[in-house]
Amino acid sequence: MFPMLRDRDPCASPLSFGRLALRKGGQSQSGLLCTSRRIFWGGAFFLALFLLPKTAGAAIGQPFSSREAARLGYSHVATASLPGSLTAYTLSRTVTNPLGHEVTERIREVAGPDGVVFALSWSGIHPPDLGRLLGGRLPSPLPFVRGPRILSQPNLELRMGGSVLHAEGSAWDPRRIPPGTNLPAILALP
Amino acid sequence: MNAPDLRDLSSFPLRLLGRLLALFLLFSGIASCGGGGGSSGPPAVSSNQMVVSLLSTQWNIPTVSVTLCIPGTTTCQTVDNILLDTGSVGLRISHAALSLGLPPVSDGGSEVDECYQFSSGSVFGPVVSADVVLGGEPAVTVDVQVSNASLTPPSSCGTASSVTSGGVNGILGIGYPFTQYDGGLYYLCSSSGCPSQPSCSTTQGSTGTFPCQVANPVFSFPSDNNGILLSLPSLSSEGAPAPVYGTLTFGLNTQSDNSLSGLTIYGISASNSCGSNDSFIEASFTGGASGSCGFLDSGSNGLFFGTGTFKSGSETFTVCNTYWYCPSSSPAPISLTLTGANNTTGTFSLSVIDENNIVNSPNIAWNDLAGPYSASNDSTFDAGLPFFFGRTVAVGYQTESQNPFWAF
Repeated sequence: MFPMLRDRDPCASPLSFGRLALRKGGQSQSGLLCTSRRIFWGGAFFLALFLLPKTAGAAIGQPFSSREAARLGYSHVATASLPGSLTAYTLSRTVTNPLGHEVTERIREVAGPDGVVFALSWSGIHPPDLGRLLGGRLPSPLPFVRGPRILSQPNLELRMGGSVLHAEGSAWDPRRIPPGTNLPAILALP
Repeated sequence: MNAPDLRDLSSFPLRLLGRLLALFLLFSGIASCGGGGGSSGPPAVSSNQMVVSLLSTQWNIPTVSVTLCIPGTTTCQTVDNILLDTGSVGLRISHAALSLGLPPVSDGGSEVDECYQFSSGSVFGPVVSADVVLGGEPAVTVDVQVSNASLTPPSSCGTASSVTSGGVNGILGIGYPFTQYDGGLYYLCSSSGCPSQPSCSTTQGSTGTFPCQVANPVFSFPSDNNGILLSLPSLSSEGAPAPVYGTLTFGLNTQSDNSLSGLTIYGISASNSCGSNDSFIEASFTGGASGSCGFLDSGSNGLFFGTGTFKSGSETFTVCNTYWYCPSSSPAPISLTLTGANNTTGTFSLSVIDENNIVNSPNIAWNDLAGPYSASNDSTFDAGLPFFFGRTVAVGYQTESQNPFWAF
């Protein structure tokens, strides 16, 4: 049974779809609008505001995107079907840690029947780029925690822990979990 | 100018003073035998030792005072409440706690910044050079990170936070993964961003000298540089109030006060399944999966293991109040068996208290505080500060003549 944990971090800030999505969107759409500089910037701004956060990809709340996985530094993706019409995407890569040991880093993203990622887990030397993976849900500033981190807010449950050189964790949007889903089972990494 | 003069000076009044002093030391010695808490003062320490003091405002946070000086000068600042961490490498000071103008480390004219990634978040800020004084050891010049959460780190660093939290002004990493340099992510930064990595700190591997990497200062001591010993007092299951003191000793088998005799060495080896990726040791524990691994971490304020809910005999472990275990009968016994790569094994009886029972206690030191390690991993045991009470734990560094180890 999965523990239901309440808020520990005092700053459970609401959604902040922020700079990251806007900046990235502005870049990817820049070729669409080029009639004039003014129209370009105005159009890019509004597109960024209303359209682009939905198409960033590979983050919680968005469809999985292998292109975005590659942008995170993971070119190898294994896809598996799970019960309940869920799909798991396991991203992996081999890196060398500062001790000179080869380590396989993994990120697992699980999408619901609608194709939208609602949960993910990771294991590696360092935590992955959670700014991208959590789709702007991470509070900023993040209070410093030396041991495991547990964060609960309406659009994000986050667990981070491990040790230096061995980071692991998981995150999910509690509003998007299909009924009957066994979270620890679908998030388990090899 | 001769001996008789001195003898005259040391006549009756001074002798009486000496006896009073001896009496005082005797009584303070007796008082400090009473266990962790109480009103006894800090322990007397020798030149290769430092007093460790648990923070009076949080549970299980061991701290030391560190003096930093502008290199080659006597312009110094002592920063209190630095978390003593056997789970990281390097000294990190909060920007807010530092008033001293320490010189920045630069490479090719650009400032060197570091992102050091703890498992639950990262710390970002410039690298500076400082003469660091730990206890009575000679000052050593090392690179230090100044944590500054108001700076925007590169996206590869993730969301960074300041090391300042609940009265902690920094972190002194003197342990895992047993290396001199911290292997963090380094950047060359200017006002327009952090476009590249400095050649002076880009590394893979644990040997060599890196002129701009944050380092464990202990490695730079002229002697007493092969490891540390951390001793904390025994506690009852009811905990202890502040002040609680311990002793940090530098060096292993280099002086009469840092002998390893009586301690069991648990070796680390890359050829061992737990050591290959992580420099962990094998662990077997209540509620854990087979083939588990573990590590010791004074910077973790609890024992962290399991995924949050499990049964052990008649005992049911669940999480309450967000973070900590609340076993059905408290304190609940758990067992931890650790095995080093050199095949030494020890089994340790620990216990887990119901956090509901202590949430209103004024005590700040607990040997039985425990919580889940992660949401899905039941094969790792983080032996945090509760494990250290009533023990002396040694960290043996990886050097040219020594393989890394824990000993306790």
